[in-house]
Amino acid sequence: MSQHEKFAWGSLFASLLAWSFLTMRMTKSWAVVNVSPGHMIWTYGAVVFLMIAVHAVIAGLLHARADRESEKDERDLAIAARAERIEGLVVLAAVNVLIIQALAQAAFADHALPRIDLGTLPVLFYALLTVLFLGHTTSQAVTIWLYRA
Amino acid sequence: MTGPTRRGRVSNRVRELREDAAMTQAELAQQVSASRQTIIAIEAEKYAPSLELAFRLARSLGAPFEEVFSYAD
Repeated sequence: MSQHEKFAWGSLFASLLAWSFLTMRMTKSWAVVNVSPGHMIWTYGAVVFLMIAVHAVIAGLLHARADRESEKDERDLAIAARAERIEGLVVLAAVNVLIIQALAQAAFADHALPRIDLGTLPVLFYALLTVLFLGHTTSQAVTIWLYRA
Repeated sequence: MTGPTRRGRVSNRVRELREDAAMTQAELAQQVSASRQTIIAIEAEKYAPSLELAFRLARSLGAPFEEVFSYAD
């Protein structure tokens, strides 16, 4: 397994860990709870810190074992480019789902789509961060898949 | 096509020529400035190298380009 694939595994787990922490702070029985702005600011800071800290630890551990193989070559760059392209598409799709859902909710009170009440700040906060995590997790999963395919 | 690809479209004789030259994957990787994982992927035809890397591989293996790589429709 290359250093880049190991980093992708670490980043995937870091992302899932941070999203689990976010979900734990923002939901109860899978429903977003109405929390204060202070609670959200603290949660946001903690999530950002968690992501940076875990990525720094992974990078540090891998750097300690770095050799010539750890330099990115053209295949690594091609895999990273494809993963980023797919991440962009996933984020685009997720944002469009939120837009369509919000418009449907505003225009048709009794629409059949699953309801996400983006009108409240905690839900909007949780939904946007979840979209970012979805994109990052997809990118790392695609990276791992391409290294193994 | 350069990049991760379906097996079989760009075929190559890298493994065969490398073994003829009594070269390890790591040695070949060092000569062409690529990682050993990339050489493994090229030999397994899971990755089609760029034109530049393909030329470097042919040169390192001491064979004409068309003897190392072929393309099937």
